[in-house]
Amino acid sequence: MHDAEDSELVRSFKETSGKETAYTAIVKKYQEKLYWQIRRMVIHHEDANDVMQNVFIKVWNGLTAFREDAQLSTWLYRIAVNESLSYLEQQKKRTSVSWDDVGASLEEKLQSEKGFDENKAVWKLQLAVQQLPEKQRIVFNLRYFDEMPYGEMSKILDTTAGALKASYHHAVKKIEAYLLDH
Amino acid sequence: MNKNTEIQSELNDLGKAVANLPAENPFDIPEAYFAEFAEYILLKIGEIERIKETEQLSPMLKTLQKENPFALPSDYFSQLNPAPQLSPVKRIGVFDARKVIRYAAAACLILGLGLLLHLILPPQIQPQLANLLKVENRDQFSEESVLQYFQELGDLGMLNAKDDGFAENNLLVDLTRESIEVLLSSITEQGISHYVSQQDLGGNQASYLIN
Repeated sequence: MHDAEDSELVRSFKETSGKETAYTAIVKKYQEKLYWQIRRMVIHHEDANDVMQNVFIKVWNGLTAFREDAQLSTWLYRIAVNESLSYLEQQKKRTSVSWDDVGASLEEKLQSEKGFDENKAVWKLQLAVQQLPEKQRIVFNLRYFDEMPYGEMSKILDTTAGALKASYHHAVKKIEAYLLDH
Repeated sequence: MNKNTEIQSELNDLGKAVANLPAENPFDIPEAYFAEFAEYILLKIGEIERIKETEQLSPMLKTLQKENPFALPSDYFSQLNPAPQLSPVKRIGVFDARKVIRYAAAACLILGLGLLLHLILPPQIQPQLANLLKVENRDQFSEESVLQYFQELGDLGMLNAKDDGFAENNLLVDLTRESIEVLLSSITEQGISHYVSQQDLGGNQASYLIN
């Protein structure tokens, strides 16, 4: 089901006169949800801010051609996830870190965050999430923190709902194991 | 069953340890980040579109490197805004000799004039003169004070007693040349001699006054 408000915003954006107003409304509506999804992926605020800029520049450039086959929110999440993965890929290339070591690199980033305390449950959970493979990490974040249905998630990640459910289950089991060990 | 309950139930089935954790966000973000982000991203987009516009107008420019070919003297920018040159301070001495000399000369002149007047004028006139000098607006002289002045002159014998009435009646209202001549003619030789004897003036001065 399409969000009527989003459809109206997209229509306004496509009319030249209301472009900036509609765009500002879209940014304000989705910026927090997208930011936290990105932030949990790249950890540091500076990195998340870079990704956010890339995401919303892509939105500006692509919204005119957006045909509303999918919901606006699904389209935005898809851009955010893809931009986060691209950003991590670029970082990996720059620092010559293998994908196996990406988790360790993110763990170090997490430990350098302001207010980090490994004895606190919320930080311990974040440490556990960074141990997950990339796709499981995305699925877990979308489901656990954003409470996203598997149907919507499948549109974002181009994966079946069943496969996503399996990924989520694996992720939860791994996190539980990490929490019991630490 | 709403979504939250569905997710919580799923977690309860999968693992109690995770299900009991709070889904809180421990990350810190700069203050007002979300309040300013929309405006910031619009500015950024405007900047990108200006660059794109230039590239579309002239694709050749896109191939050129944005390097500055101009040479610049070393340390140009560090010397561009030197500390402001303050104009030398003008020294003003507390003791200005020229001013002091000028004031001293003026004071000497005034004292000299005062002394001269003191020597020339009879002592009886001096208080009246001093009073006259004190008053700026002579129109303010009362008739009584002027009459008193001439009364004093008369007491000194400088005015003929018979002319007192003339002075009272006419002096203040008629100071024409003729009236002054009449007034002067009323001064008797006897009165002048009396004045000279009182002032102890020399013979030459006395004859000068009489003539």
